[in-house]
Amino acid sequence: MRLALIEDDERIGEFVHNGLAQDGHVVDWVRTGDDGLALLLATHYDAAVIDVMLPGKSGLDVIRGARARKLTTPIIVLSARDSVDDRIAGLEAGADDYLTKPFSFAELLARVHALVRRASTAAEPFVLRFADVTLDLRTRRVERAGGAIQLQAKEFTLLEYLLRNAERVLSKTMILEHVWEYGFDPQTNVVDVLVSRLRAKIDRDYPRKLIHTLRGAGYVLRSEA
Amino acid sequence: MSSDPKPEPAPRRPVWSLAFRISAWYVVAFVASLAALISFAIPTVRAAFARADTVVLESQVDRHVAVLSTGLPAYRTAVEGALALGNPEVPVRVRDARGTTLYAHGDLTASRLTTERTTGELHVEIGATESPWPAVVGELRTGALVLALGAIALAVLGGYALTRRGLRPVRELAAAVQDVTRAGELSRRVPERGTTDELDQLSALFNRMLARNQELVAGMRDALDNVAHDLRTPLTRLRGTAELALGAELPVAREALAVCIEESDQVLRMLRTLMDISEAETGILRLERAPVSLGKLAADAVDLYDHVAQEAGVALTVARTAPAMIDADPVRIRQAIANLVDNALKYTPRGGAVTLGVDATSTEAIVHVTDTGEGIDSAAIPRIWDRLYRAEPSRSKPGLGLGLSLVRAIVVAHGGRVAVDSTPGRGSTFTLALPLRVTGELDGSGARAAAPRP
Repeated sequence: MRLALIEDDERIGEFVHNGLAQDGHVVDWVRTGDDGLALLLATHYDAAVIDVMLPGKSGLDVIRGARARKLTTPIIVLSARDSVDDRIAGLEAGADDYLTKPFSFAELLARVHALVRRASTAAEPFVLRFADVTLDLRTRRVERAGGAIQLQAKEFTLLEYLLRNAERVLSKTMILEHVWEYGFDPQTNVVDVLVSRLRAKIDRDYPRKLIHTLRGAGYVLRSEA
Repeated sequence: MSSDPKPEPAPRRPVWSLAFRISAWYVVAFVASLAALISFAIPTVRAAFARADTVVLESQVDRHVAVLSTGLPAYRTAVEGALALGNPEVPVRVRDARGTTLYAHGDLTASRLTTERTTGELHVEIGATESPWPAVVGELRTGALVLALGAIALAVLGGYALTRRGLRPVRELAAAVQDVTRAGELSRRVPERGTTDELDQLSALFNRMLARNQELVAGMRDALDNVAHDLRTPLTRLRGTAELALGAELPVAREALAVCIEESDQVLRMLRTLMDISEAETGILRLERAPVSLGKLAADAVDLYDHVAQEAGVALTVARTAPAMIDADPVRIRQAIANLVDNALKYTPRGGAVTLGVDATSTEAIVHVTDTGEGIDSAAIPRIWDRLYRAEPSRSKPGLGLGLSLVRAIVVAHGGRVAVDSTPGRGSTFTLALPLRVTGELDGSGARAAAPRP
């Protein structure tokens, strides 16, 4: 994918740029709002990552400018402020998602992928598969290696979320938002407990483990460690 | 054994509005002076009429004496002649020196007023039977009464309307204060009329104070934002650099980097919670208020912790849900209840129970979170809401020591209160009380917003 990055802090820009490049994307990085808007208008990007506090034109001004010119590129805003009205201001300016600093790079990556996928209009499959796990959205039946597995509602929602984002790291915040629709971090271990319950049903009796913990990042569904 | 920190003074409920009281006093004063005026005027008029009657009678008796001096027969002819001509009847009696009545006409004893005169041997008395004046006084009294009733009615209605109108700036002031304190609308101003009277001056001064407050709050918010930004930027660099380096081959390095990430997340969580507490305590926490059911928020918290409670072997239930609507930021209140549930689960041993109950009084919506845990030492109770305070036995448990202070800060920012009741060895009950949703607006006629009462 081709991505635009507008970030004035050298170190933050560097690791975001390098991280996105490592994931196999082409990244154009500029440091000011004016350059950023010019870049977005000149080239087609699959997604843009924009910091709010920029010298000169602010990140929100860039987004407004881009949206005013009918640009539909998915945009993620990065902000050092996490109050509800900052979030609302970001989304009202035309951003598609909002991430508060400091953020997990894995989470940024997962959100970029989610946005790009949302923008493309592929048909939704009824059966989700990964390795030897299948999840049928219509019958709500879950199987591993042909054997049925009974899941509680929340465990089912979590597995569905992991399957839809296989091979991608999901942070605790993302899981909280998705499974419980909680917009805040309750500073508890609810996510860890739910993951360990799901793991007990999906992984415990099988030699090949699928749900992995990435310390400092979150959880990922993948077939090898 | 309950703690109830920072009780807020309960606002008094005005029984009668100021407009009502002012107009009542005005009407009382008006009625009193009207009554005094009437009770002075009517006897005065009556006395004046009586004096006029006397003057008329005196001049009449003088004429009788003049006619009588021409002899009794001539007098009699004159009196009866006058009567025959249709003059009003005047009772008369003429007596000699010995008191023998020589001539009498009409009934002197029935007269309102009599007078007498002596001329030579003869003594004459005359009386006045009818007078137009009492009728005039009666009409005057009736007229005064009708006019007075009309004037009182006008005074009651006009006085109330005028004072209500005059006090409108005061009501607007009260409404503005309510918007600023309850809803946090710092940009709210009182309308100024430009009449430069006392109330308008008050409104202008008040607006200046509100503007100053807004500046101070904006300054405080900016300062907090800057602190947050300046702390978050290095944390972002640290965390990002460490995360990207996690791909390193060396397991020792990977472990060290993971620890860096986890610790920076911990610092971030603490920063975020401290910011929330500071903002809530200084009144600059933005609350996205909406009408919500407290029972629904309690159910959400139970839903969030359902499987955690199952794993811990603790029964987590909502025992009762009274209908209780509140005007609150659902995210924040959910967070406060979740923190209480988290806390209760942490201190309740396997086989125990954590029970939520939602109640409503006439002014408050209340959530109780009751556990069967170890309880809290009575000496520790007043301090458990303090920042970073943790009772000694719980030092071993994970947690930041900020959870309960955040709960209190959020609840107090909503105009509510928190309390705890505990018996060591048997368990604790944490209570979170919020003002019930107010449906009517402050209208100055005596109805007032249901206010929190400690």
